[in-house]
Amino acid sequence: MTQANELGSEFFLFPILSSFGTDGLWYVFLGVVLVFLFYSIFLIYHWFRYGMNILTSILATIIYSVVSGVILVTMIISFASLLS
Amino acid sequence: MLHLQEGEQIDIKARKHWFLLFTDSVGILFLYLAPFIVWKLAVGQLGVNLPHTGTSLTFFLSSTWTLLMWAKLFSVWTDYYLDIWIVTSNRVVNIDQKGLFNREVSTLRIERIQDVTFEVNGIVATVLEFGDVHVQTAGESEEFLIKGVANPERVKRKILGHIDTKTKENRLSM
Repeated sequence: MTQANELGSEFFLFPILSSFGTDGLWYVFLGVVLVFLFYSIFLIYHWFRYGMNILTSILATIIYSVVSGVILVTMIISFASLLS
Repeated sequence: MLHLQEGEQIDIKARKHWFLLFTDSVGILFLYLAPFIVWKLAVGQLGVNLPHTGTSLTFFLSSTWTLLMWAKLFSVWTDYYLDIWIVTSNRVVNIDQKGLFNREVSTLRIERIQDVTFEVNGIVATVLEFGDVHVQTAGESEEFLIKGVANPERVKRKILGHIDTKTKENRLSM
């Protein structure tokens, strides 16, 4: 496992994060992304299964997906930059 | 989706007032901003040794937090969107979405309704016209509560209108 001192000086300021190492951070990252994706699938399923207005459900799905995509990309880029 | 009976017509679909969604959303916004404010205070005022904003670590942590709060915001909206009261010519249907995995649908037939009252509490509720509608059933102490609905007086009037129609129909059929 890669140790915290290979992750850059920023990690020394966070004892919890530095104890994870690279593999641990990967698990945290994948965990957050997977939880978010499953949660999103359930949300969108509910909008279309139980929603009374299909247009509202479509609009909500578009707004939710686009903004989530932007945040996810930011998260992935900053994570990659963190490990590089 | 609600399956209508023969000859049944939907009169109103009532939701919680938008102000209640707004207050819940403001709560999420404060929760979202809290760690950033604490971070700023810790770095700026208290001189705690933390990375300044703009580093890849702070970008990663803040984007992760933003993603989670974004999902939370939509979960609040989902509760608002899927909680609905439907008044039809035959019944009052209360659909209550509690979180993502708990959904309750209760139905009250118009004939069983004995009394309908509404209450508007507070300045904001009075100005924006929202409140609770209590629907009392005959015989039992059971009560159907429509909470935080927009224009409760209109909802009450509509339900009472259907009760009158049903009563007249029953008298004629005797």
